[in-house]
Amino acid sequence: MAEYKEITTSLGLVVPRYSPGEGIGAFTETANAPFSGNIYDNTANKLGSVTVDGHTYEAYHGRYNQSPTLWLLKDGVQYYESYLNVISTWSGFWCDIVSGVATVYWITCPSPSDPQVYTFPLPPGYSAGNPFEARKIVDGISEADLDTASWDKSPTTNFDDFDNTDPRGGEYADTDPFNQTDVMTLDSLPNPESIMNMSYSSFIGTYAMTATELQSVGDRIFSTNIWDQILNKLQGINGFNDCILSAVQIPVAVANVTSGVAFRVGGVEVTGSSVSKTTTRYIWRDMGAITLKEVWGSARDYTDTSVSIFLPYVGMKEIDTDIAVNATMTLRAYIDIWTGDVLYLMHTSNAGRQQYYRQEHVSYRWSGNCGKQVQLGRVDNSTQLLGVLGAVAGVAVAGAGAAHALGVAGASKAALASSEAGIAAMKAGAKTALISGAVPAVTTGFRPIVQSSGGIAGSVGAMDYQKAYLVVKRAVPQYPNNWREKIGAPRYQTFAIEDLQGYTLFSDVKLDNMGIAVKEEVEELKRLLTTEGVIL
Amino acid sequence: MAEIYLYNNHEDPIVADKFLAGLGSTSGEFRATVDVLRPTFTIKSETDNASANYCELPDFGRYYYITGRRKLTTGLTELSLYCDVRKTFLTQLRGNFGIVERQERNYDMYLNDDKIPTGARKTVSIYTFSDTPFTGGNDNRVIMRVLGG
Repeated sequence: MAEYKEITTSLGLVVPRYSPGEGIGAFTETANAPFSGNIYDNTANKLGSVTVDGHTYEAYHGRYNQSPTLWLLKDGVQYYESYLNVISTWSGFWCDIVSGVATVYWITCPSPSDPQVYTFPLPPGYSAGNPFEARKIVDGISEADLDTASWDKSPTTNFDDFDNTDPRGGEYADTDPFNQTDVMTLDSLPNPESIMNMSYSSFIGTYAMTATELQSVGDRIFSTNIWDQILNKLQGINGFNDCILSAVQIPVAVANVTSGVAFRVGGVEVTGSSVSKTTTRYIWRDMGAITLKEVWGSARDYTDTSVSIFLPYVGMKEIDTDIAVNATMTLRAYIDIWTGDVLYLMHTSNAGRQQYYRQEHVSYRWSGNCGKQVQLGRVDNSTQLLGVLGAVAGVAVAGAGAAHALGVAGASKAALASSEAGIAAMKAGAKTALISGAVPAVTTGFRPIVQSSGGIAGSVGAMDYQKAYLVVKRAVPQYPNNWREKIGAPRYQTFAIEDLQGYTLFSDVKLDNMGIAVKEEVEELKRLLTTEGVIL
Repeated sequence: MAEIYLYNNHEDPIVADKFLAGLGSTSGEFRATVDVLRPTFTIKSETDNASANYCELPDFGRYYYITGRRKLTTGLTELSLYCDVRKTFLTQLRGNFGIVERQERNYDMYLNDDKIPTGARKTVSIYTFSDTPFTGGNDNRVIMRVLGG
């Protein structure tokens, strides 16, 4: 697998070993740059020479198939070439602008710990432009840049110009270069607080309670002290469920929290309570960035690769490799704490493919919910309390021998007096009865009515990972040794055959001026060139 | 009589500009009707060289593979030839243009290559995002919205 390294050379240069799209320097050929067809023989194109271990290395510049090219000859024989790529193992060309002079660095590495750098200044006429990249050979594979020549120019508007290989959109063709300044960054997204800016603070209160705070409120509201219960009833706190709009547990840290606030519900302050309150509805958090580099430097990185992402409280989602590969993906989560809704935004910046996509854009968004509904319990003690009062009076009267219900017309003072004594006696007795439940008259009607509002929604996401991650599946291509010498690599472009070297298979070839060749021979040659190929 | 130059060729037929080891020349005659692409040529057996698998016929201006060798009873050897159109017309070929489908040096790795297979077993890599807002624990909050709160 290709890997990226940086080394510091003996000359103190920090140079990349493998830097797709990140060459340390750049140059391009201007209209006046000197070059000639057969550059090996033209000493005017020679950049310099150096002798290493008894071998003479000479660097030449020129043009190879319309591309600025550098060659390195070893003892007069072509050794390395670099036009769109560098063919070498731990060696290669870089170009940089040093003190205003475009300079070629040839670096060779006989062993990983012994890098050597030689420099050749370029002649005038070269300026900053297309980057050269140094790439490592892995198992006989070298990588080539994407041929962007046809995309560098604006498309023609002449739809009938079939010889023009540029995109042809007719008279309505978009001939403007795409606007690289129109980027979509995460920071340019509007603040949802401003979008949904409306203060409810005088009408609705939002409490962000910790477990301890919630427990303390519960203890106060659902106090076992009967007098606290009576107080709550009188204050109307017992019916507070009607004033609760929602209660959601969220596993995130909430911002803008004010602690030590008394809990109020329905306009009534629960005395003795101390909770936290917040005015923020939306929070967001950057979850980090991942740069997914190409591995093979080929179409396999896109066609035989699958990328999926796991998002907490959402699950697994697929991502288009055209967007994900060779891009930096930044994930951000927005959370609505009122509901627990989560919105993930994935921002991508394609470092190596800028001419095809906007430089930066938010390419994906997914939503889920991290909230867990909190079950609220409402205990209606009103019937129970009335039962207590009535039972106390009834038992007392019964205890006195004659049952006289309170409030019955004609109840005698004696009955009342006995009731009072009975009440005092039954206070203790009633409590005992409530505890033991032995007195049916007391327990009947004491059945607490518990209502719950909101079921336990329970987020299954809480049972899964809480960090997002990418799963990248890559197929492993089987490259035989020296495969390009035997079968070549894909290309679909018209070339002058005289400019080609090595194995070549043609898709189509038009053979003119074939001298004495007869028709059968021309057809035979054409057949061979398009089926078996030729080594030129 | 026509001259024939005999060679030994050890290079793949796909190579255009072959390196040929010369084995001398001899003369012979064409047999009957001559097919420029597939001629047969008769030479004296004593002048034949068994190592020859390639030849040039200057009169035809062509290079040929020797595809067959028959010993005739009259002390003659008949050579069956097949024109090597790649080498014969290499100069003319270089003056033309073609749409290249595959090339050894000038290629685009980002075009799909159906000649390179991939294994069934894939590599699976996991990349984890470094941060998360879902910290739970002490950060757990119950967000309670109340009327008159």
